[in-house]
Amino acid sequence: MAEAVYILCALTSVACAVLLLRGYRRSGMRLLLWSGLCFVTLAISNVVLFVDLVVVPEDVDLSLIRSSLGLVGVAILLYGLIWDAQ
Amino acid sequence: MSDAVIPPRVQRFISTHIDSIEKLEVLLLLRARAEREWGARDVSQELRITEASAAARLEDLTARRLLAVREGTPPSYRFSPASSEDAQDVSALQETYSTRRVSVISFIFSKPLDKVRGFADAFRLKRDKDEGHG
Amino acid sequence: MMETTAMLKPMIHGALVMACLACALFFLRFWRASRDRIFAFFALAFAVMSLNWMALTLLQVDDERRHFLYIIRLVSFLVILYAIWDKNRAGRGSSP
Repeated sequence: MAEAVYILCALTSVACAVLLLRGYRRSGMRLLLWSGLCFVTLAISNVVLFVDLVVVPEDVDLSLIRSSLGLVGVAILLYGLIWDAQ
Repeated sequence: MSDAVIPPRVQRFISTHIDSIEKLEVLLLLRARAEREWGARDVSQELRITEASAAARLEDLTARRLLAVREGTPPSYRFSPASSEDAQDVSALQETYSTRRVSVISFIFSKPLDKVRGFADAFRLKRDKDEGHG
Repeated sequence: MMETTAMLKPMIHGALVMACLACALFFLRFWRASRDRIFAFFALAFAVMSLNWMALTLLQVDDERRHFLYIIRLVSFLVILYAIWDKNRAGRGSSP
């Protein structure tokens, strides 16, 4: 159940990333680049989450990597919102 | 009010790319004479603006993938939109501008360049979905 | 090494809570300026995301399957999916 949720979240993030980066390619608006990259990072973070809980054995803990990735992603978005959104 | 006479696709194009009359004129000039290449000096003489302004507009429009640049000193520019949708948008814009100049001008001034709107528009899955609506 | 990790995690989670809330605030501002519903949805999604990180820290678990925490994450992404769907419906209610 949880595993399906993580897959869904990863797919949603990928969809958002694709839409935003496509918008960036069309219009050159930097905000779209940063938010697109944010969702790419969130997608990766969700995949790592899935791997951490489902694939990898109990003694390996990827939670620090997960959180760091999440933070990097949201930080990129925040940077874009502050500098490139007028 | 005056928004109603401007087609939605033109409104969207202006909100996304056009923040000044100068930029609009530069874009339409290069489109009208698309067969030749333009440098900043040519544009400044044709439109009677400063060469620095012309250069800045040309660079900006190139960054938006509406013009193509040939590097050099000085660089020269040509009307060359990256996508056919952009080309159609500019045609519609030219047509609207020639019939409704005042409306377009007041639209440009009333809607400041909106990157925020670009964010929202990025999530439209199909570009011309609203062509049938008013 | 374990201690460094134990120190870092709450800090990163705290930073995430703040960053998500800050993004949500930006989206709220955009919603007010543009009246476009999609920003309200994104604000909600990021606010819920920050709840997720807050819950993880306060409950001191790493595994979201505990306490069904992953539901929070699911909600935020469902909100985003709904926002995209809403944006693309015919006869859009939000501003052009």
